[in-house]
Amino acid sequence: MTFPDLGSAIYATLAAGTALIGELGGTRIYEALAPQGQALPYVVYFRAGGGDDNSSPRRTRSEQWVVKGIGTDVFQARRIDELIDERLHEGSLSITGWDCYQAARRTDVAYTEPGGGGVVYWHRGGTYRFNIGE
Amino acid sequence: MAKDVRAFGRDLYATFGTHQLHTDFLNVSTNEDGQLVDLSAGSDTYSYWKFLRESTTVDLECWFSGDGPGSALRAATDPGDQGTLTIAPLGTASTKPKFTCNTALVRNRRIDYPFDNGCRMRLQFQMNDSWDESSY
Repeated sequence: MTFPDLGSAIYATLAAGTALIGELGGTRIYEALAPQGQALPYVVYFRAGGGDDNSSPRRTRSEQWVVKGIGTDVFQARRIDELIDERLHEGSLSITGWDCYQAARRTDVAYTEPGGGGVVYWHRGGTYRFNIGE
Repeated sequence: MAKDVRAFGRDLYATFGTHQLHTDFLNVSTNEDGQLVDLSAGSDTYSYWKFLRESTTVDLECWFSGDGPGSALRAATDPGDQGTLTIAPLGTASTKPKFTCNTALVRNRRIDYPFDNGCRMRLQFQMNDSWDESSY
């Protein structure tokens, strides 16, 4: 059994969104952490939970991932969130060795983070659930 | 592999005709029901029953996939279809128990299409013959 590489699948799905890439000004999509000093805005995504369903002999998993846009303009962060949602909610992810039979947004993520010099970083995104089976 | 300390659903092997029922199953239940007749007299303090015959049903609940075993199983299980039903709770290793009915009828089929979950198919088989126990 090969564990699913959902991080790569999410990246590929987001990177194929031309509107999202245009809004970001490039493929600024990072798993877990953005490079230090990375210009804003950008997208960060990370695994937030999940695991095996163990409900039948066929191996299936439910995975939760947080995917969010971060920027200094709240309206732009919200727009990035919408473009992420267009790619992922009810989207089709290609995962080596696995089938994704449902991708759905579950909860919203929205908070602000104070930065140096009075800058405010706006985080807008959601937690997405991916149901996958071998 | 079956563990001796406790039977576990993951060891189950079940077939209807040539179709495997255990491939993506959630639960299988066997229900051996006795038909009784009331022999109580009007003045009796307690009820007296006579056992007439046994009637066994088997219920299956499985995931219903369009691209896998679900679709083939659905095609083979229209209500009224019949075939040999085999249930092996501990798998098919030597000496493990095996329950078989040579003529099992599909009595009921229900498929659920929930918006936020995978689709499930439930089948009920009515034994139209004896429910025999043997071993592998």
